[in-house]
Amino acid sequence: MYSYKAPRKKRLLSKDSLLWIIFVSIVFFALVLFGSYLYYKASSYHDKLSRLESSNKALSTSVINYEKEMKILKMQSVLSQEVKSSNTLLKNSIKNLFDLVPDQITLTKVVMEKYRLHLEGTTFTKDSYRLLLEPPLKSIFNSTKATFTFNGAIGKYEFVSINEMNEEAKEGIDGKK
Amino acid sequence: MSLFSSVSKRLTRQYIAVIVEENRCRIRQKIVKNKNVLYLEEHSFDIPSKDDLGVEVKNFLLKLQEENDQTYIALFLNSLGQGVIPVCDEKLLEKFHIDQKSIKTICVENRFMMYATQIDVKWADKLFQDIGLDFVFSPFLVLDYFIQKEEVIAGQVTLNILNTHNALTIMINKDSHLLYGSFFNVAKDENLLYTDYTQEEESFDEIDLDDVQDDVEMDEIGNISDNSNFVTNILKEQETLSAQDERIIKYLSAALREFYSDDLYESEFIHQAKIYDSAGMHEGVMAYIENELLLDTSAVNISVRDAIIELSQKEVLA
Repeated sequence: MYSYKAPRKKRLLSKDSLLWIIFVSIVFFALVLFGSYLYYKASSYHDKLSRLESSNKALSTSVINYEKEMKILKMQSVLSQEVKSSNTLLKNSIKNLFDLVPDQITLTKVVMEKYRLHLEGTTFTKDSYRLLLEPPLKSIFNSTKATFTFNGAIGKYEFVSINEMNEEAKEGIDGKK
Repeated sequence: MSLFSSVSKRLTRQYIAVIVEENRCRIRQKIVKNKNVLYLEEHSFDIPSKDDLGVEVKNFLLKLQEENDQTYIALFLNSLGQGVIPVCDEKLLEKFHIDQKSIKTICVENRFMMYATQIDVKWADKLFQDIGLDFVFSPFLVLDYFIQKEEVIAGQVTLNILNTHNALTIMINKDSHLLYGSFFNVAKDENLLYTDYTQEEESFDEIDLDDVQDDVEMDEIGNISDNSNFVTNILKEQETLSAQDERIIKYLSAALREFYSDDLYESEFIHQAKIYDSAGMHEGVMAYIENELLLDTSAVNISVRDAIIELSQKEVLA
């Protein structure tokens, strides 16, 4: 230092440059702040979305389960309806069958199938069967066959009656349904 | 290299060298970026007095500073209250009859010590109080700047003279070591600091040449001094010398007399004279130095303002 006076301190930047740098810094800071806010918001939405997605997935699974359950229930409902109607039909058939059977005949076994009726029972006379039971059976079934066996122990004829419908009658019944 | 100094070297800087004379202010403006000179211009203004730069100079310098924040203004100190001693020891100031409390000192590379009175430094501050000032350089520093550029001949004693428009700076060097230094204002006849110049003609003859080692050569100087009035008178008769030139001769003679006679200085025979001229030295003065002092004289044209700018750059980048 060979001067009698120390130099004045100098600004590295001019006033204009300083103002410009301050302005740019403020803008940059504001942008960073806004960017951070957007990032925070985006990540918040992202979290919300993933939560909703997982919830949606759970709900979808639940809906599928409910649909399956509903399907089963519908099937059960249809089945129960069928069973109910079948039971009603059976009940009516049985009632009709029993209405057909006169007092002189006692049934010991009844096997009711869709197109076939298997009856076993006892009767005092073959005529009672042929006159009182066979005619209504014949009106329903196309083929009615009865075999009689006399049982001395009880003093009654044991009969086995097999009644069947032919193909036309089957079709007729199916067609009605 | 730190980042700051690296950036600092790449800044665009404006250096302004100012020399204030009695009624004139000389300014050199240099704009530098990364060692490349972008702009170089010299200006000269008339001023009311040495103590008042005037509105024109003030406005000019303020305008330059407004244009560039990195502006350094350096002043060439050419007031009388300054000097130099050949040792770098403040304790020895008293020996040279200098009041230590009233001066500011600067030691240059342990070779010599420049000083300026507090009054002169404050004068510089006051002169630039509305403008601002960064450096105040001593004329001895400027002269030494030129001397150091020259090739030194070992063992030779050289009389170095810095001739500026209103001042004369003298440094007598042996190698790079200073033996004697003195400063004079040649614009006015007011240099009455250490020597009674009114008694010059008589006292010059009273030099005790026996004290000087080289008797033969000093005798020659004695003879020359006897003839000095004669040569000066011839020059005067020719009316070629101005009053300022006459003062240059007078102060030069007085300085040499002081150098040879004062025990404070290691007086050795001077082999050559080197004139660093920025104001155009009169041929008569050159002839006086060459013929009367019998010194091998050479002169170079220099620019003090350039030197001040160079010194400012060194200070800024130091």
